[in-house]
Amino acid sequence: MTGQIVYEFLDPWMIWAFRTTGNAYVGFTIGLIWVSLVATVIGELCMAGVYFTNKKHFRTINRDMVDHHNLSVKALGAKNKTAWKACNSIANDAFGKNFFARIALFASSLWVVPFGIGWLFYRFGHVDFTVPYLGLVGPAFLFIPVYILVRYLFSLAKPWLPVFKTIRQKVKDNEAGDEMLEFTDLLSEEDRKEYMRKKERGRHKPGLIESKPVPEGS
Amino acid sequence: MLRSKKTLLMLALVAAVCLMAQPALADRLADAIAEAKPTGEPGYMGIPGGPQLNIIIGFLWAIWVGWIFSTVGAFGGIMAGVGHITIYGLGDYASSFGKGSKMNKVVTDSIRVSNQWLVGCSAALSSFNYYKAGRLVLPLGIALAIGSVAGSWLVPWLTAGKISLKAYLGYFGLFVLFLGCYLFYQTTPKGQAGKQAAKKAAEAFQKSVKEQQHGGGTVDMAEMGVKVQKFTPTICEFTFFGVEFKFNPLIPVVGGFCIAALASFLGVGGGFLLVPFLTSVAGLPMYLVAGTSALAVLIGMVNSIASYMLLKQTPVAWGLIGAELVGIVIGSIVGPKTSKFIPDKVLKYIFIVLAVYVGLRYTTKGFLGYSIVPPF
Repeated sequence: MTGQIVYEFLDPWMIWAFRTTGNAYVGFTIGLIWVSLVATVIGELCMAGVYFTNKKHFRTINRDMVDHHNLSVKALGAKNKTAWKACNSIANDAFGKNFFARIALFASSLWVVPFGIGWLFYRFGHVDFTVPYLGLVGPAFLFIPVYILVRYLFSLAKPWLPVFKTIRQKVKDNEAGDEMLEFTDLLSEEDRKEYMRKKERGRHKPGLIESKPVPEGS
Repeated sequence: MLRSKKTLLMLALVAAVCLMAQPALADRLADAIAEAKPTGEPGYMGIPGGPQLNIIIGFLWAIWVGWIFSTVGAFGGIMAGVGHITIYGLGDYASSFGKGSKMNKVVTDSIRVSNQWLVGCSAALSSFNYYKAGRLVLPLGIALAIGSVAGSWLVPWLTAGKISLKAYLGYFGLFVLFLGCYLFYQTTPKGQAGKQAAKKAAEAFQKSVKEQQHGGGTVDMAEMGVKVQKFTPTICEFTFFGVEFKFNPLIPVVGGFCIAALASFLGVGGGFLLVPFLTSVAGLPMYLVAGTSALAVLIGMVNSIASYMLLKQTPVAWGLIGAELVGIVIGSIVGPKTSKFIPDKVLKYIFIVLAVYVGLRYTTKGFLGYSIVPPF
């Protein structure tokens, strides 16, 4: 089996969007958005599927990372440099493991994109697209920025989209437990309040951590 | 981070990607075809008589790559390279055109940039999410980014269209051998000693925390954050929550450069080198490594792919990359389910043997012209 067969299969699913209007420019724009949206939705659903298939594994490696990081923060608070170095090095090993497992997870949200680009070349490879100052460009030049924008807008809409809202919540529930400690947690309650007040007033540039890690994709 | 800043960052990313997207400048491939005058059915990248890449084989190999990513980690990128070079036969195909031909070099560059698309995009996306979640040590991030941009631009600029498959194989092999030796060192008593000591110290501290029933005490506002005590071009001494640390400020710039250059040359993401670098050499806390490495991986990868594809018009076979990504996904599902049946030590020895075999084969094939391990 070669790529050609895949593109022939994809053709009727993709090309209709490019033919929605008589205007070639508008049709091509609608088509690009359609291909990007299909790639985004399939990718996000696949990523969720892969995550839940191995949810125990992701929970374990995440917990390992968070627990050792928290221990390292506590060691720093106790000014125990040896313990800090030890816990931090183990936390970093756990982070490495987590990082590579997530790389494979993110691949599940991206696999549709190369097929989309390949199909665009199959369909429009012989069309000359001209961009001012750059000259002739291929369909991928136009598709990739559109895909990134669509995916970004989709990530903003996710908390309100029925299926994706549930996925988000389930990922959160799966990785629930001790939260990753911030270094501000080392401060006394009073100092912490003072720090937060200063931060809110914008007088103090935070040198520490602002947000908690989000385990799922963008 | 404010929403408006996030949007700006996203727009900047889109602008950056505009540069890395492939323009229709197929002149380089067309020139190579015109020079080599290959004949036959269009195959790999539409080259007449080029190998008919079977995406099922690509898919099956990628399952193995995904399995490695989810069980061992970094070695997955190397195996993706082995797939392009050996499993799909692109290495032999490039070699068949002779060392000095354009076709040899264009296929070699295509292998490099395909590896980077395959591993780098997922690494960058993963890093970006860590960046959103974690913190960025801005000066260190900038130092790494300067090094990364320099390295990932210089290597394609200097080597694209100039490196023959044999030379690439030789260097790729040397790197795999080095990785194999490093993996082996980790299994030796000396390599294990450091890890064991860290484990014991962590356990002892955990025990003391449990006994004392408190979380390491509190610090006052005066001690919090980073306080620089001394800063020269070669020494930066600072206290972090009252604990003293020091590092050489030149290290991140040089490290960022070397890692990005190596990643770009070999066609890998670079995250596997950056994460241990930031933790062992720069001694950063884990929470800060996430955000800081993100910036360097993202910038290095975008820059490298843009340099290969836009500046040097290197083409890739998109269908193959898509099939490989599907394989990686399946491998990553199977990985955690099967790896629990294989002890960590056995897994490590398997990869040492594999790294030594692949390393020896590629190094000798690249530099001597024949392999000293079978098949010769």
